[in-house]
Amino acid sequence: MPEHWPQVERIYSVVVARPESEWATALAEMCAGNDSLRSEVESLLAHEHAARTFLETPAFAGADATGAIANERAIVGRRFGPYAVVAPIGSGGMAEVYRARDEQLGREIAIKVLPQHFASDPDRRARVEREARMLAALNHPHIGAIYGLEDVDGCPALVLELVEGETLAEQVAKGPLPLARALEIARQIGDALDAAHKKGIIHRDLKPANVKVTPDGVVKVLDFGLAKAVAGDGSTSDLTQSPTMTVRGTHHGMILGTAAYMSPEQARGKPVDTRTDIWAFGCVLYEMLTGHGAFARDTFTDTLAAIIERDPEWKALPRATPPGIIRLLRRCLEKDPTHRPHDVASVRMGIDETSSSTPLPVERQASIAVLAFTDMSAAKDQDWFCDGIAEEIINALTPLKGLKVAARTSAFSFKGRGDDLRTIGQKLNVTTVLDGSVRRAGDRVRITVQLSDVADGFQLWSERYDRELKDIFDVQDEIAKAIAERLRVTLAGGKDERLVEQGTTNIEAYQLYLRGRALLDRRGASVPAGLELLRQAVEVDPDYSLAWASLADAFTVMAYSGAGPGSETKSESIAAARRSIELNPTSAAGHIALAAATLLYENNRAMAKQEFERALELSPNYGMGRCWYSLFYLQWARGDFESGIAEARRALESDPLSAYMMMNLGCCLFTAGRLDEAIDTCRRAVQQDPDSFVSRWALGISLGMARRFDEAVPTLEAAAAMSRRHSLALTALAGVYGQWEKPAEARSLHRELTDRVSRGYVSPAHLALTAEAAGEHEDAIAFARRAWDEREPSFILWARHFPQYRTLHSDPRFAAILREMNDQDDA
Amino acid sequence: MVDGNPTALLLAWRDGDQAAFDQLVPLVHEELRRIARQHMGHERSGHTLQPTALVNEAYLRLIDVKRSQWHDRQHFFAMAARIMRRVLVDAARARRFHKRGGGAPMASLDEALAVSNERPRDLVELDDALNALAAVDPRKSQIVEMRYFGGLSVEETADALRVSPGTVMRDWRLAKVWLLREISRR
Repeated sequence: MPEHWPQVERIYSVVVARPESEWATALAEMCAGNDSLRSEVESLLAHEHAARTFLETPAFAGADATGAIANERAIVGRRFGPYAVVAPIGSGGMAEVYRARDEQLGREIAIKVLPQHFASDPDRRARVEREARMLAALNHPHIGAIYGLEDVDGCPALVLELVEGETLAEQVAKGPLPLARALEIARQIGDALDAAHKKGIIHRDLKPANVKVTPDGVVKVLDFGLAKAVAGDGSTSDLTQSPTMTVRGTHHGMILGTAAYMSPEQARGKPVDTRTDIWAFGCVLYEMLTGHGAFARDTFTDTLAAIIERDPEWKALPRATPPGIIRLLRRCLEKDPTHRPHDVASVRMGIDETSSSTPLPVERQASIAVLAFTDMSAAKDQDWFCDGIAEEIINALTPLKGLKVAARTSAFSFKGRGDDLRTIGQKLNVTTVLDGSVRRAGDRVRITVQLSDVADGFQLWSERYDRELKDIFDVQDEIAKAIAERLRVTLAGGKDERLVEQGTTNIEAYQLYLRGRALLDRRGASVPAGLELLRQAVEVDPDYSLAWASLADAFTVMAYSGAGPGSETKSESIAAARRSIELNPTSAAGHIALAAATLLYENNRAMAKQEFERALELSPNYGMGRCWYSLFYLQWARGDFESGIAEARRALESDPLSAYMMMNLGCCLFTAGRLDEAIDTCRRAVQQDPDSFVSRWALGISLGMARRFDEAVPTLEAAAAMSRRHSLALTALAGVYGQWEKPAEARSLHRELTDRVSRGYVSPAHLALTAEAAGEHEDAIAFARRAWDEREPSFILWARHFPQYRTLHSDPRFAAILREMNDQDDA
Repeated sequence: MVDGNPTALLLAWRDGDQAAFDQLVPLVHEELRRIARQHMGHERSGHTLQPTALVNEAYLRLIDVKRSQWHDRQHFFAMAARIMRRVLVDAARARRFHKRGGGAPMASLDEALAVSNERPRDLVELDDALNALAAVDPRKSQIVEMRYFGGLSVEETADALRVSPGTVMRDWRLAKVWLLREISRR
């Protein structure tokens, strides 16, 4: 490897500077035929995502290098009483903390021991016992509890509640906390301090590193090692106990960690009382809101000077900070303790008054986004396969208890964009991200996957699978199981249960299905090719339920977009949907396929309703199914606009970054005449996926209905251009010109479509609309009649409530058609 | 051969005397240890000693600032980064050993997340991978050492290695993917 290292380096730098979607092509170009060179660079590129945050935080940040450098004692692996010490958790100046297991009670605890060099110091030992007694007095939900004292090598050690989660210092290091969350945490810290103060105990060392937030969002104040029971006069002037006063000779940055939270009276070595904790509380709240310390400076001396002389940078507080909170902070951070609030209870009330809204829970559930895998094949023609694998993994993970999985379209929307993990994690609100790459050569496939922690970019797990293509199902299953195990998620049922629902065992059928569905999902001109592949898939494996459902969908999509007469595909579509259900009665996809087919081909609304409802009951998160239900059934078949919009919104919630679902909501909104919202929604759909034809189509219709003609026309022209002048685009465009009272333009579009009739199929439903827009009303009625007589699916879909048909409704001949439709349906 | 005066050793090393470096390392290491112990002896609970502070302290104690230049400080820091790496990795290795020796289960993911600061396994793996990288491209390995274990900024690293910050960034980026790949292969 070293001999071509400079070459690898050069190629890597060039490739990585390009957008991710071009990596494979660039790589192929630059490595022209040199396979070993290419696979070398490729194997580096596979780690590019994870590398972005990897090592970005220096090794020691937060970790206690002091503990490491001052030689720790061999405590791990030993037993003390019922406690078996498992691992070190951390060590500070005065204590080492270990994770241990209580073998009697079967729970994990923390054990806090004196560092060896203090073990013989009677003063230190007495202090441990005092901390134990204080903690025992403080039985409070927001204070880490003590379970007992244990003898470790002749020295008392504290047995403590093991608090999982990050310290507030770690959380703040990532940036300021949202206001509601900061206040909720502050409230809980306040509760803890209030309880301590009521027992006459001052913490004296409150700082973000001494506050933990559990995964459930519960705050625990820790480390009462410096705490002091207050004497009768309520103050203490035990100077050796003050964090400042112990520093000898080492001024340089040594105690910065704590110095920044010292009160002015502590800094001066004066007596302290509960108001020192109130100061520290102010520092902590300020830091949560701004992301940096109120008085932290580069050197110890500057920090002390800031504490004593300077005001915090008030402008650094976020704009949204309520004035009441700013006032409260100013009072807590008064240099003169007599000007500070007298007790924590009044501080807490101050917070409650300004934040009337209900507290938000601090969420940290296990969550994952599975990104589309990168295609590393030479020809870069395995896109469908990459997406398919990632999707199967998503499907396998979705039903697992305790795991939040980002929906497919949302997770896949980052494809080829090269965002870093942190951005992706934030946008999708997940804590872990799985990404991977696929390289296929003939029957061999190499899959590389890695699971990364969004917070720090560390790889939690990674694996490479070199397999035969026929083992692909096992690999998918293996990956899904490994992830579940890593994330400690409960596997539903037994361990050996298959996670990936195996629709087929035939690898050829599976590949045909994946490619077919990928083409189908693209809509427009790709549909016929997709349909052909799906047809082959069910030929190869006639028992493949999912492929039958997709085949039915492909026919239906062809039919309603006007690709051919409905009569040609009707029986095949319905038969395919029925076959899918027959093979797997609990398949939501099968029921949705049947619902759509029976609605569009047979005008059978009652049966469609039943099938839609069954499917959504089986799989409430099946967004695509809910889309069709909302738009095709509720809106266009029933005219139930409000329910349609509500269902469309629900579909979108399940997959918030899906352009299709956004477009679907846009259609519901324009049908209901809510045009401003429709325009806004459709615009977002276009932004989400600029390549989507149907999003532009919906935007153009919304703009036209709002009579914003000069925006509507270019939008629909663009839709026409990207769809080889699809009749749907021309129909909408003609409609806009019709409304704009530009019949000449509408007429030329109508002509364009009628000219096509001699060369191929044009839906009479579309011709009815262009004729009407061109002012040829009689023709429009005739086309509409023909469309109904031929049971044209796009007519059945639109005649009742699609806005462009509304001008025809007043003609009694059209009204008669609608009556026939309803009568037939009711019969 | 220069005498044992740390400032003289540092200047000699700067001028290319490798033996001076070898003499200096134990001196600096011992000083770091001494400061750390002293710190433990006098400090109060929970005070985290930042290595940057520790190294600064050692620099001020050992080196006659009047005789040295800014650039020498970066050299000193580069060396300290090597020492910090050794200390942290040794501690991680020891912990790993204890863990196995004690018959306790290996760190689960759960623990790794909860105790996110200390990842003995990661550190040991990283150390091994860095050694492998040094065999292929010593400068990249050194850059990672200085930035990750020494906490040096891009500019400080560039200064100490007498290369441009752009070079440091490019090397840093490639070094990281290389290391991740190396770790994933092990």
